[in-house]
Amino acid sequence: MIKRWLTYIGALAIAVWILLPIAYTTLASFAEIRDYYARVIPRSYTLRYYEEYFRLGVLDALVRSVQVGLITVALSFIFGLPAGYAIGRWAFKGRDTLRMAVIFFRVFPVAVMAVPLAVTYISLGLYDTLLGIALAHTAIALPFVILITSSIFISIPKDLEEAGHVFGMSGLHVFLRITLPLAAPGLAAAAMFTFLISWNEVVAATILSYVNRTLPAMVLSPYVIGTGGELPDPYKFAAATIMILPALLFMAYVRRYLITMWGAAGVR
Amino acid sequence: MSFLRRAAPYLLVLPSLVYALVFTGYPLAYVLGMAFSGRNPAILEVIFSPRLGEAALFTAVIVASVIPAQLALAIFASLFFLQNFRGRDLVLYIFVIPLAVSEVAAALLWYTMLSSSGFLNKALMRIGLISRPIYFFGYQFRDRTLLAIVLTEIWRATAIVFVIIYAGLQMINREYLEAADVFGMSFWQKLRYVILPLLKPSIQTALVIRTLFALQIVGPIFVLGGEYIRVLATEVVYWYSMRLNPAVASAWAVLVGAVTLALGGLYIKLLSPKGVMQ
Amino acid sequence: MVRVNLEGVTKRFGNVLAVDNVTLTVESEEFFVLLGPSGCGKTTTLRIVAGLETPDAGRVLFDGVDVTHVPARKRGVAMVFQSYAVWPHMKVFENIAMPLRIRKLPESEIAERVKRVAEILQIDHLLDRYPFQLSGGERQRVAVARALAVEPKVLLMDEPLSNLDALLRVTARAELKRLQKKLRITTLYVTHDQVEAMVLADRIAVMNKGRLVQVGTPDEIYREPIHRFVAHFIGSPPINFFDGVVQEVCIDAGFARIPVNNVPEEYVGKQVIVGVRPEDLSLQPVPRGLELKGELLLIENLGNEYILHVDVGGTTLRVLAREKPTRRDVTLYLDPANLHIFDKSTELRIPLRYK
Repeated sequence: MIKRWLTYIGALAIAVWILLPIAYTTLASFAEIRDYYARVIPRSYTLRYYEEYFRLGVLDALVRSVQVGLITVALSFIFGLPAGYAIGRWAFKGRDTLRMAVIFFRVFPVAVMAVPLAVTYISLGLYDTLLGIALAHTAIALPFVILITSSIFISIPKDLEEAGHVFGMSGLHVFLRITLPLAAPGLAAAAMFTFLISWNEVVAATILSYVNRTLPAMVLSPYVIGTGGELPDPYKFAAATIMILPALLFMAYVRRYLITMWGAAGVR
Repeated sequence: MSFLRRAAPYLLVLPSLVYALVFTGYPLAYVLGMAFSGRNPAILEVIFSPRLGEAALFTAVIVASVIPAQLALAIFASLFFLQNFRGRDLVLYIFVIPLAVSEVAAALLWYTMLSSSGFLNKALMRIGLISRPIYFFGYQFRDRTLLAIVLTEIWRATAIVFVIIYAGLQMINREYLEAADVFGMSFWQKLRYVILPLLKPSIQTALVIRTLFALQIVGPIFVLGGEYIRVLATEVVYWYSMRLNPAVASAWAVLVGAVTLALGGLYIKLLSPKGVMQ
Repeated sequence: MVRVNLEGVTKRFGNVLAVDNVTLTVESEEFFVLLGPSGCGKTTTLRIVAGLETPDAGRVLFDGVDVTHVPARKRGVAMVFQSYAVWPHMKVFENIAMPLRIRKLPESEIAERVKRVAEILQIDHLLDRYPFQLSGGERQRVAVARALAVEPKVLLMDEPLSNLDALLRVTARAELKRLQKKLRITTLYVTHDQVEAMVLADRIAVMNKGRLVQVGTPDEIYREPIHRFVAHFIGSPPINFFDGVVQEVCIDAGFARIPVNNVPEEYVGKQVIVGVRPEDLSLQPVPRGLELKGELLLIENLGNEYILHVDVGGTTLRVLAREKPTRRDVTLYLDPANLHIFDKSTELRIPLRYK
């Protein structure tokens, strides 16, 4: 009996622990700042901080983050999907070494990667470009894409593909008509996850840009540059809320795939 | 088998491999070069710099606080969620929401919670428990800032450890636990003699991943710690973006890489399971 | 040794009634088998005795003491799981010793007991190995050793032989029976294999769809099944059934008339199911026997015996025979004392006797 109550209290505690910071910050972002300072739960709300914040260039940063994210997803999938398929579907010499290599690439520190890239980009004309950042993000996301897609393909029973071969379909045909449609939901989740990695990434984005910042880089840079140009509170709340939004949407979509997918990839 | 069939896997994998090697091999060579070259190698400058001691100390403190806490919380959360109760799936889902939240966003969230006009202070003052705010940020409150940073990381990243451990826990055959029940083990005995040993591979994976990534966080440090808390990773960003010194930044990057390698190797050595799992 | 009582034990999982009002007694030192098809509730009943499940209604008693709500670890039972549940990260010695350590026995006694039990089960040379280094049969013996070392009040076994290959199963079966008799531990054993049940049990409880259908010794169950289900479940190859209608002096089965004695009035006109076991049909004439003429359809060769499928007047009967008939038309002989007659609607046995 007591155990039941403790369980429910525990569950409630967990929910509050996670949701309170998110809910309160979102609430605060819409509140009149003086009212916010005065009360625990503000009474008057406004959208003007968002308006001002957007005009300050945040809207541009937001758009940039989206663009970088999309390019990253495209590139990581172009490179990573075939690799994931090969690893997930076929047993070939060196496959296990390759798997280990992928894991090694995953833990490679971004900090080590970013500075040399920045220097190289300058001579290549890629510095402070969206493509440059996307290339770095792709390098970060690639191991995840390979691991996740390989486990998606492993989960599709080989019989289904073999049936296609028996009935006369070529390899590519089987892939496009049988494998891909079955893998589609998982791949969609993987794509969103990749977008999220790019959306959230801050180290490479900061080092590789100067004026054309993504959203996290824009939020971080005053702290880095240390000009004391720290964001005023209302903008902090707005920034946080904007940054979290895709995360929440993503989590709502993948609710089903959650444990299986991340168990496989062992997320950051 | 035709040549094409045999070569197919390698052809499919090759582009990614090349891409990854370019983006890891080249930078690695570069930072090593930049850090160690010249009459006055940047690496020496960093090793003898006064900032190193502080950065190393703070890195150690943060990592040493966050990792054990996350591991313990993840294990207990996994056991907690094994139970079946109404609303369990919803709470589980809520618990893993932070998986998708970035370090910068998480830092801002906890700023909202802990700042002098933040939720905690306002709520406590409203109830009357305190009359002046508890300050978490600011040079003279460095210890508390560290606490805030640790708290933020625990909030954000415990779910990562949890997902790995939970998956591992579900793979433990239920009958091993039932046999433990029948043969007299209490909850703590079950934990110690059956659950933890069988979780060892998952724990190892989680520790390696978590530690290596904990070494790389910069968001909470910058956002909450501002100028007075620094770790190895933030130094890389600072020296490049602020001080415009690629050589020194590279040297710091080498340090980050070295510590990463050392800790990774240490974990793998220490935690290799002796008896074999099924 | 301990006597186990189940009184009105009932357990539901969601909408499914897994165990329906089960009442039975396992006498002290008895080898009691719960037998039935998958899903009949036998494993759930066992787990309730173990304390791994709590019944929704009813009680479990050990020697008169109500243990229904006592958690598994405090009941002093031991269990051999279907998958053995031998802990993979401990050596064989540790697996057997662990429950003894939990009971805080002194090291010297633990070592002695483990050694003794390992010798009995002939695994003493394996004590230093890990489970993954053992064969299935060896792991099973470890599981049994672990259960015996504890010297439990009640020994519970959940289909411990079903994962062994056929040959091993037969020897393991005999070993288990021998051990139980020697150690005199009250044993509750679950299986779906009726041969196993017949060989091992002092008494059998046949279960179906959560209910107890019949409890009795193997002989009683075999000779006097009180329910059509029991008659069908026990015996291999399975019993032959055909329909009949009770008349004043006989049962009319269409292709045959079976003379019957003293038919009570209320039975006349009743629809019945008549059962006859393949081993009770013979190719040789039987004194006072019924003669059935039929046509041979199929022969299944078992090596030492044959199963003949014979069409008698439109009904196919299986016959267990020692020789192969040489011709298509065969005559079967049957001693009607070996008939089992069941009411078609209630499926319960009807006591009708042949003249």
